[in-house]
Amino acid sequence: MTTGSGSRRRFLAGVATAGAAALGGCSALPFSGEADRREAPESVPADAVGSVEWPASPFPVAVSESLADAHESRALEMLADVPADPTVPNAAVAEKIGSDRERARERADAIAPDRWPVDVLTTWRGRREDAAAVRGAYRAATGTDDGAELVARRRAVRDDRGALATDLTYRAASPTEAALAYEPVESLLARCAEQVEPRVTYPADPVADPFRAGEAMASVEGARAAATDAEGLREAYLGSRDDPVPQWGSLIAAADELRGSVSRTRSAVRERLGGEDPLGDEDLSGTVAQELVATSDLRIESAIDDVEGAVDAGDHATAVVDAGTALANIEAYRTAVGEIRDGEHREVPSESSVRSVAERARAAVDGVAAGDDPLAARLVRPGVELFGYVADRVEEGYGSVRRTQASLVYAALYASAVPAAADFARERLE
Amino acid sequence: MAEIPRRRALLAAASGIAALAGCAGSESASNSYPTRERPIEDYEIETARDEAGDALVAASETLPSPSADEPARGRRGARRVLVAGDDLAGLTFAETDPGEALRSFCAATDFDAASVYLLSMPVRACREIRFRSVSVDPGDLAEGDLHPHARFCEAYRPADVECAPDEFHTVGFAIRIPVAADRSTGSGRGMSSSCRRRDRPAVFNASAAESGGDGA
Repeated sequence: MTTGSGSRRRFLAGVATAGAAALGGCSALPFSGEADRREAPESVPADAVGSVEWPASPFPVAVSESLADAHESRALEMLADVPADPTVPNAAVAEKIGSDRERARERADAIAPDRWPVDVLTTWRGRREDAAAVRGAYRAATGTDDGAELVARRRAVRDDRGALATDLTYRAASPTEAALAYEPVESLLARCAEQVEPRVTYPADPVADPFRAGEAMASVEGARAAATDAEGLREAYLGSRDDPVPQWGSLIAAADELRGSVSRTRSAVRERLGGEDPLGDEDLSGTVAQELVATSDLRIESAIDDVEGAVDAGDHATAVVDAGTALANIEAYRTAVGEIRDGEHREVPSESSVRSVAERARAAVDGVAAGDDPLAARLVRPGVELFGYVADRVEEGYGSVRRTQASLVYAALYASAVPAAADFARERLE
Repeated sequence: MAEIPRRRALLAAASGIAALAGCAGSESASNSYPTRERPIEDYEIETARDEAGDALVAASETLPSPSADEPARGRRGARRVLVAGDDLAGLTFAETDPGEALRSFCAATDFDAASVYLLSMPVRACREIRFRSVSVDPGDLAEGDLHPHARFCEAYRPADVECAPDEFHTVGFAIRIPVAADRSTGSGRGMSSSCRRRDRPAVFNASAAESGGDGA
């Protein structure tokens, strides 16, 4: 996603880690005396989880399709510079350029997923980078040295990004709108800053390493695209609001306060529940509850890291959104522990229980969507993504049923916690 | 034979191996990090490429005959650790420029001061294998047994090299390690499918640096 791809990566890694950890623990745990415990099915039908509707885009205004169209045109233009069957003495290099071109062309021709406009732009920027990599590799392999041009382009993108960042005073109609409008802008500027750095340097001898040349070109192309989108989103917002005023101070104050709230809420919940391991005296081995606790822990840690990172980076709009996300995660954890203590989530998962919790999660997300609250829509995103991730895994035949059910329970608990977390964040903003 | 361990110890000390070898043999040794492998910095290397795809070296009196079939291609690979001049006698090198390059490099080695880790392997004609690093097991070395481990990576050859992707060449590496040994009962080889990955970051150990030992 435009807003927080790092979080998503961390989350996905976390899901995998939690699963592995839980499984690892599971294998070492004694199941003696539980011979009558029913076994969970190895899988559930591909359609057991189903899908969930994304809430309306929380970006305060419509995003012109011209932004995505520009990426598409640029991608196709770059691919047109590369012949389908390139002639290069090293036939393996020629083959790879040809197949990379074909793949990039297929991606460019595919319909972008029906998601929020900022996500559609993310998809197109990726396609544009793919095309730039193919073109850069082809030009390098055929003797064109783009090194000097790349240096100049890198500098221009960095300058443009710097000008955008310097000019960011979060002009908006309200602090809440500022958070929603500028969070993706901050994310794009961060992405641009990351990609414009010469992490992959252009080779001194491009003929000797054409694919590194392509990768370097793609990175700067992505940086340029991110800067363009950042400016485009900002202009789209400002162009739709009369007399927006700087909300910088309000955002900073809200971000700082919410960061403190996250910290205090976490401590308070820990204290109320009885420490860092409130279920330590219960045998949850092999249950959905065990997986649910592991998932909760990971997501809270990740969310708090995100808040700290955003505040430290001066990304105040992002910090507000991340803090709201963290608060909803903490509340989901608190509810999860309460339900487990009440004896829930210990049953052997089954197809029907998976279908049931999927429905519960879907209803919770639908509830947020029905609330017509853009801030809540933005905060529920991690829950929708978790649902989608689980649905994809089930459809592909991967993932344990226990883990599937735990993730869906968590998605439901998280989505249910979002409206209150959004209200809490908004009160600090306004 | 009594002189060999002393000679080995002196040579190993000179090359910075001794301190680490000693540490590895004693869990209680201070100022050391536990490690199974010790990177060698001051190696010398000779590389060779046979574009006909023939064997470069074999541990037999004759070389495998040229053949395009898969098993024969496998036989073109070889791996030997030479710790004495006599070890050379058991090898047959191809009478080609690349074969001779490897042979003469091995023959020029002073086995009182060094050993040679010799490898050859098939590679696709449009690809190349790059040497990345070599390390030894200090624990085994302390017993006079040299266990070298070489790391390689594979990459595309330059785009302007005329080649066909379904053909095979043979590449050879002779790595001169500044360590004398009594024997070698094992060796290792790692191959990464990409040359883009960096080596693991070095460990800082000021104490070892001060003692003239571990520069890793």
